[in-house]
Amino acid sequence: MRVLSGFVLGTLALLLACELLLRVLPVSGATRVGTYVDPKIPTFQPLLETDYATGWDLRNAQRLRTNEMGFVAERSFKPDPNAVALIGDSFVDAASLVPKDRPAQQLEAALDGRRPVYSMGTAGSSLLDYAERIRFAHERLQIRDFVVLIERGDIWQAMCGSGNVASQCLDPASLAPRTELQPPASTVKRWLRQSALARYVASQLKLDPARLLGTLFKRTEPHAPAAPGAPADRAADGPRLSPAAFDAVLAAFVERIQPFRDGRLLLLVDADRRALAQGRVPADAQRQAFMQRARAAGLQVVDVEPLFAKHFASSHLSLEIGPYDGHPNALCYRLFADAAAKALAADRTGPEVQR
Amino acid sequence: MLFTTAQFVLLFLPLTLLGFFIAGRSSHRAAAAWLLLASLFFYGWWMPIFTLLLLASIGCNFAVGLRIARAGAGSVRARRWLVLGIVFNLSLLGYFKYANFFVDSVDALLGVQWHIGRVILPIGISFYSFTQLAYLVDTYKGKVNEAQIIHYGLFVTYFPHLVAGPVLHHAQMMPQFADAAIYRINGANLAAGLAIFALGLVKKVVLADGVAPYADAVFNPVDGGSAPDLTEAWLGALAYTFQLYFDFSGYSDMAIGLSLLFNVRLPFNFDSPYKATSISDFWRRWHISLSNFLRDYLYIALGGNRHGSVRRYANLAITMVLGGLWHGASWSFVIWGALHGLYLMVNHAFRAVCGAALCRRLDGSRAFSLFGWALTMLAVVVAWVLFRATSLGGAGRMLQGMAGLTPPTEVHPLLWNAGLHAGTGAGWCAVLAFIACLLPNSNRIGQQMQALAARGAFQRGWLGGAALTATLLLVVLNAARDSVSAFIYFNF
Repeated sequence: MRVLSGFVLGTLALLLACELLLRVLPVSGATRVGTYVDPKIPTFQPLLETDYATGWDLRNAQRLRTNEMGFVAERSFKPDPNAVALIGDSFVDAASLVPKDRPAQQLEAALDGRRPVYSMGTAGSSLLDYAERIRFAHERLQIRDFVVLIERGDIWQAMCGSGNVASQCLDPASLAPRTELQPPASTVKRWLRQSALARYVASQLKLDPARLLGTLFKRTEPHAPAAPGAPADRAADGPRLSPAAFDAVLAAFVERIQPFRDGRLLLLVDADRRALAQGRVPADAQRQAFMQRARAAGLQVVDVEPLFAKHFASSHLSLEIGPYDGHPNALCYRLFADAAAKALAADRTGPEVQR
Repeated sequence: MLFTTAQFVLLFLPLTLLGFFIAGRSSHRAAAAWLLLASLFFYGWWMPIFTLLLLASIGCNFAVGLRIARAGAGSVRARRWLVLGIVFNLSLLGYFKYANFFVDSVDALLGVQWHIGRVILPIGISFYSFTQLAYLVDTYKGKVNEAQIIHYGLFVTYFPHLVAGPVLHHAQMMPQFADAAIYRINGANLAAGLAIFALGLVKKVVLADGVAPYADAVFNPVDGGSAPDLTEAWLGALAYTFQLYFDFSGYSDMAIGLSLLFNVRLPFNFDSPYKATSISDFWRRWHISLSNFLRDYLYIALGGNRHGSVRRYANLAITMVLGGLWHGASWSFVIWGALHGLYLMVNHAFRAVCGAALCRRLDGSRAFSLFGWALTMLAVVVAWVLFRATSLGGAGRMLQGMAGLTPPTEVHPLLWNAGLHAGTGAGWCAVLAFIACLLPNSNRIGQQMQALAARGAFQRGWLGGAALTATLLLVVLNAARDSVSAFIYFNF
């Protein structure tokens, strides 16, 4: 009996010690996502301050702040026709970087501070979600000019069930638009989020019991290579869509943004940075097709692949956060920002940038 | 199998413990046989084929040991058998560990093109060969005489020490295997052993693996031809300095803790080496079982300090060069060993010049101790560069970088490309330096845990609960990572 009571107390003491230690460390904080500003636009809690870090060793730890609309942004959003809305997913949040290196700040700097840039990124969203944010920015903030940062997975992720849908997606069977909001967290989950240890296990370690069980009977060589590609790359190299689904996604996007296109709308299309760094020519037919169709639909497309290729012709500096995270780094965002600023500054009737 | 994996902690270890203590209730011999079989399974998990080599090595050495014992300690016949045993072990080691190195060196020297294919290094061969060499020498000297093949097999294969040491003496283990008490469950040892194991897990899974990316980010591209700047070179060298210590001493703690679960005590292998105030002091604290082996079976066999100072320095140099070569078949290990031999010679020469009285005064001075510590650390860190670099060119570029001979860069490109920040790396190194240089070491903490567990049932339960929870959390942490990180000393 004394052994048992000691055992229970020892277990609790260790868990408490871990909890206290992790509370001091920058474990990614609890974020409550909800439709605070628009029924079709889930955002974080407004005016939230929380920590963000990557991986088990809490790399690239940052303090994140959301503005009054729940976007990770250093500035407040007020109606301003002179502002530019920067729209995308975690590429726009850029939570691993210090604020001055994030894309919105870099674009503002590239525009010589003449125009405020509203960072409207939401991690885990895709093309049709971006359309809703364009609508929202136009209606609520009177914004006319938009820069949409398109990552390579954004098209297939627009299908419902992809795991990267904030609210808007296409039904894979009928190809009809659908609203698919994440269900609210259960009481247990909300309660567990208060624990730094639980957040560490769920968010930093991304504990998957099935995977853990799988390792029990698997003979793994030491230093076995990591799963191919970093998370962002794995997302990009997703399933190829059927031509019908591909057309439907693009058509839904163009149709949704059509009423709000009275200014500039740039699609800044990311490229396979890893292939370019290795001196390979990326072969991504769907990406090419997307750019072609978008141009045909009258959208201004900025293909950053030639910029990246030019960079790698003279530099060995990576354009990714690291081998462990395929998101763009500060240098990559500078290339993005310069390209976007140049395109925004160009005469609307002039030649398209980096066609 | 790795101590840090879920399959080891959740399957292998509980089943092995259970089988050992159940068998131990009816037959000590059966329990020892069970542990031997489990150890062979543990060894064969990655490459079962090398288990045959291990068994062949054990069989031959046991047979030779019997012949030596029967011939009588110190006899001419015993000496012949000993020589045969030494030749057998060194041949095995020579082929599997040094054949490629030898052929590559001859090719480079003579400009010829010999090929013998790539010989795969069987894991732990250096450890089990040395363990058995020591056994043969001790048998020849009449210090041991083992007639039970199961106990002998268990002494060599005992899984906590098999693949990365400590290098054990027969005399340290056999009396324990013969003790009936080890075959009964001991709650205090279970709790303390698990706690020491968890401590080793923290050192490996959190500390060593945490700082490892900073060493890899610098050394890997530098071996590929890149030149590090001053910051990168020092960060890489320091990161490796701490990675190696926490990795290997973490392994040793885990081995000690695991062994304690079976009521078998293993000797300490580290004693805060980065607190050493001289290079001699360092070698008394680092990889103690290997240092003792080299002293007892090589340095003393060469004559030690019995034939004047010149022979003494020569013996020191030979011992350290061979110690370097034991770690790996490459010129960088040879130079690493030679460098440490040089350090030791300088250290001994300095003390000889100063004389006993001055040395006593210097040893009592805090300022001199601090100076000695700083100089020792500098010497050790510089030498680790040769130990870690996979090529002499890479080591040269690292040392150039550390000397500030590489042009400075605006960003630190090697760290940038690895997605790492110099400031964070420096933070890791500072924390690890604090732990390694200022906190009590795990030997001391382990002893305190054993004392706590011996105090009563509640304390045993408390320690066991905390240790088990920590172990499970660390296994989960380790399993969540993308790649399996082996212990550095598995390569040797």
